[in-house]
Amino acid sequence: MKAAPKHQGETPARANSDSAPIRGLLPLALGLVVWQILAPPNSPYFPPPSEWVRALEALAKAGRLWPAVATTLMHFALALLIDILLGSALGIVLGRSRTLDRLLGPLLEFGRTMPAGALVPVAVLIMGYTSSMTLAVVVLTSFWPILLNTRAGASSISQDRLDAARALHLSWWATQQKILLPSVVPSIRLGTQIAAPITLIIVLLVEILTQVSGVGRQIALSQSMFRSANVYGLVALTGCFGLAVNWLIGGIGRLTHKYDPAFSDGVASH
Amino acid sequence: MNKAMQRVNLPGLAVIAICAGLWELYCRTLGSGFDSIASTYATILAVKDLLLQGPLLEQLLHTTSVAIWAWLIASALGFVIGLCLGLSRTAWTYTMASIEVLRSIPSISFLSIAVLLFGFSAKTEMVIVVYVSLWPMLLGTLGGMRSTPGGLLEVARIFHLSAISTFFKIILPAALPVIVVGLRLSLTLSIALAVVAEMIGNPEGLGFGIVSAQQAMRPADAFAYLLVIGILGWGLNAIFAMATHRLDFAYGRPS
Amino acid sequence: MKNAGIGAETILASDRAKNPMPGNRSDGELTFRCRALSIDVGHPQRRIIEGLNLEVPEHQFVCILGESGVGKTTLLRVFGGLTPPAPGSQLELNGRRVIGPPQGAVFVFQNYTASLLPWRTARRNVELGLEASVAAPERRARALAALDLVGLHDRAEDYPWQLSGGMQQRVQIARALAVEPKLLLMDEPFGALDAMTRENLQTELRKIQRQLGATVIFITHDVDEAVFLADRLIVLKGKPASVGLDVMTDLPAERDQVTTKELPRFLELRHLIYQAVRREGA
Repeated sequence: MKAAPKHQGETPARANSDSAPIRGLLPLALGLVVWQILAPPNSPYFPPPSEWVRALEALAKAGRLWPAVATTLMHFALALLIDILLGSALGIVLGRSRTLDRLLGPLLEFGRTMPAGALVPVAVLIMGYTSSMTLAVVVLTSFWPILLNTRAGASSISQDRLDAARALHLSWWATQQKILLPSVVPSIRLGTQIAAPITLIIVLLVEILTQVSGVGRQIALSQSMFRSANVYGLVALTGCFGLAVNWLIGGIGRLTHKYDPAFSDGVASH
Repeated sequence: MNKAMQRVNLPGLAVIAICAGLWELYCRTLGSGFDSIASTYATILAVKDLLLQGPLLEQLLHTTSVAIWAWLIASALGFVIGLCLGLSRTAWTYTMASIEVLRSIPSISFLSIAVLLFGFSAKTEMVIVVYVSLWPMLLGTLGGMRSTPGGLLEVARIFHLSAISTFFKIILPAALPVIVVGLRLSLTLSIALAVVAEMIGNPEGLGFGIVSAQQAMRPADAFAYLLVIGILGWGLNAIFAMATHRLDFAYGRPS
Repeated sequence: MKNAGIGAETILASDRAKNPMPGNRSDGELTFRCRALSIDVGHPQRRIIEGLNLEVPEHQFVCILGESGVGKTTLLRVFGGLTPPAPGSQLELNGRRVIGPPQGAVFVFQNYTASLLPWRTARRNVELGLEASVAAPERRARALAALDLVGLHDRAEDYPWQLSGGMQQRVQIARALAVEPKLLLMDEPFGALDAMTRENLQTELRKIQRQLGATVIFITHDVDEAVFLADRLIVLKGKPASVGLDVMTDLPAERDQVTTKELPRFLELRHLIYQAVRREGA
């Protein structure tokens, strides 16, 4: 089959790959400026951005900010790591074994569609207010994209590659290493890119719900004490985490570039 | 009949039944010392009791209706905004970066802001669920509008389709698969956020139920609520999948 | 492929000339003409076609050949109004300047999968060009007739993904034919198909063209295909390219995959073309 000729579609129209121009920050910047000007500093519901900064500084001084940040980031990193290990291992197993996939299908479907926060109360009952409880809930809720994508990738390894491995009499281990893994890396990567923001959200969710530790706990505490400047400041901080995660996602893409073959179906699984 | 039976995946369901049985076994033997877990049987009993004598039914109805209404509103809003940004290059240029920043803020953080501003109420729940759920729909619609394959746009040109025709016959249908994904993600978020909002922001619904059970240290009730919530999530997803099945067929992805 | 019934021809070709004379210039408006046509592409701009002059009278089947990359597709896209030529170029269809896809002309793309609407059945794909001007019942009839002409009448309700590559390309051709164009621009339409399908489609295309009296400008890099199909052969050559060879085939109007290809004139033309293409290989 010939490749698509390069000319068709030259009609310039919609390029989804254009990155958003910086001018687009105008509404946000404008909004913040207007807020800053109009809101009185001691407004109970809408304190101006300058107050947010002050609140964060105060938290830092009181020694409550940075430990919280560290805890949250640590939970995130650990959870994501476990997500990747668990998701890819399970994904590969399910992708390569149609029987297992069919057997575990409904069970996994139930787990996948379970609304995220619902696990928390039960997890608290069983494991108490601990970091391992947090990790368990976060992992079980956020590893699904990695599982699904890896499964899709593992089940669609081209037969040609597998035949090549057999023709070369590669051992089982060598086949796994040289054919399977490189084929599933793009899927694992895609799954990770989707799972990372979800992981962050669930970490914060658990922290807010259980108030064990971390930035989420600080947000929940501040909210219950009506310290609105704290709340907004901490929310903005989580925004920075979010942007950092986005940057991380982009970085993962660039790092694993060498594994980028044409993947058969570029559609991600959620 | 055979084909329908095949589609139902009996072995898979059998696995679930076996797991339930194993859990029951565990609870009666090794796990009998733990008072924070509930066996399968105890859970089912609790569901029955909560349903017949307790608030489970009205809580289920509350959560379901909030989730669905919020999903519909959020989807409509997200669609319209996504459409406007997708069609107007100027609007896109001058707002996209702001949107990228806003959407990076973990949605859950806004829950606390909503509780701060609106207190504990049904309004809080609705507001937060709508706000969070509109993002996938917005981004899906926007993405779909902006990624019409160039080849199809040229086809529109050679047949002299008007701008309106091009939109309805080419751009919108081409965007549909992505929009449907956005709809599904929105639905997932609506259900999850409704439950979470009920845990902190609004003392009604299944979320409130499960948290109450946990605080009162009643594991059977907590497990019961977990089961019902799980079935709700699973059920709505299944209905959505069935509704969009026909679309898969048209677009070349029969399952 | 089955030959179409009388019904199909009547619906589509009721007032067309049935026996066009290739090579004769008619006074008619149906002339495609370009003068001093130049085309620039790329960043930075590079001139790939320089000062091309061409006049194509109605009913003529022109095949344009050339080495890969010489600019055939771009040239056809310019003819079809999809890409603008360099300033100073003159391009007319029916006496009217070509700015954007002209009325009465239809382009058939090489990548058929990217040209069909995947969410529409074959019949509805074919109806696309008719929707603005024709009412539903007649539209359906014309679409089915066009599909019949290309031998896909019984696959009308299938979606593109259910059809093979050859069938998809036939659907695209049926879509082009349904609007009864005066000018058909075809960009290596059979390039991605297997040999047998290609030969069948070539034979059918010539028949259809003669029935409808359409003018065709057909791009290919396959010499045999070009000689088989054409009333007139043009070879593009050079960097920037211009017309290297322009010759009437003078082959009989009725053509056959076996006998026509054994004619001395056929072999002579092949020879001429290979010489023209290979000489000064740039």
